[in-house]
Amino acid sequence: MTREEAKERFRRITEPEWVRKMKEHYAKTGTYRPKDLRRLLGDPATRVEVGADRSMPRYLSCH
Amino acid sequence: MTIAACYLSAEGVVLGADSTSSMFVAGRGGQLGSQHQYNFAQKVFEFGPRGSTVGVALWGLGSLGDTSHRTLIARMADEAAGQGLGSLEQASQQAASMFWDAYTAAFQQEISRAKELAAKGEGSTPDEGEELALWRQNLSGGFCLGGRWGTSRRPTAFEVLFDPLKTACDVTELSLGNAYFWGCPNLIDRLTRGMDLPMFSRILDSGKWTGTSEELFDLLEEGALGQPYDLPLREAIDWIYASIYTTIKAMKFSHLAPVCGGPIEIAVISSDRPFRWVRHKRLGEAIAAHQTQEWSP
Repeated sequence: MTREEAKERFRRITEPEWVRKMKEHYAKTGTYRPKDLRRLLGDPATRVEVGADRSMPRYLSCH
Repeated sequence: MTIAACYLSAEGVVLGADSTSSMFVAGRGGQLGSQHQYNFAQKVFEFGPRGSTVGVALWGLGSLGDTSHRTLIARMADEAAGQGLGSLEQASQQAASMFWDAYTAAFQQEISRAKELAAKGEGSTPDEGEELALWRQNLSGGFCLGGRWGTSRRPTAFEVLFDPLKTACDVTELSLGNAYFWGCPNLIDRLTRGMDLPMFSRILDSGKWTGTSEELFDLLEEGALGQPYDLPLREAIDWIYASIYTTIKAMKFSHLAPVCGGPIEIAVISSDRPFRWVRHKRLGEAIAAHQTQEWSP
């Protein structure tokens, strides 16, 4: 796939099958399947940690 | 669901969370129920009476049976004060132990069922696998205690995680200069790293990636956003607010259900001052929101 083709493909991204099924399930039951929740939102038993690259100089701030 | 966050800086601890509580309301007499999102729940608390130097942010379960988080946190603080504990780490361990007792008492049958299903391992049916995933999703979560203890001026924070398959809560000290996100953290992962962990795993498990996981990670790193180390306190407040706001709006403007939303609450415990609210909804906030909608032109 060329860069231009990839760009075009990105533009045309459509709803995948699993999202359609997720919506169907939600319409029927009013709830989301656990596997969809984890896939989309995350695992409530784990964290996301965002921090600086500790190998880089870090005492460079000044007032 | 929740987006909860903590930033531990050398100046203090910032805690934040959204205010949505998702609740299934069952119908009566055979009628179907439906999922409701209530937007004025509280997920950030002062730990102890006013003037305390510790705060709590929580995610996961909405309550522990008939015991609310508000009540349990008040009891934890009473107990910690009564025992004269010497550090926030000790207070976190004690809070974790009290939480675990309340959690296992409130969900005894559900936890047993989850353990029973997990014990089947590979021998479980697809339905049993789904049921286990449901229990793990609904019965997992945690809370973060952050601030200073006693006369200490050093800000610290601890993460406490629970899961029905564990035998006790895990307590972990958080690192200075980092931001932490819990509950629905995937969107922050995508924003900062370009991909969330489930997507990373799906690529590796697809069988179509011929490199190593480290090589895939190296590619990701090339597009990830660098982060500053140890932000000034007010910038850390902005970061926490912006990340919670971003998660809420990503849900609002997509196919995702608005499981995070409502007012964003932010609290700070700095090295020189006790617990302070940066943003906190009033008790009449739900009424005020209704009136705004009703009367604004």
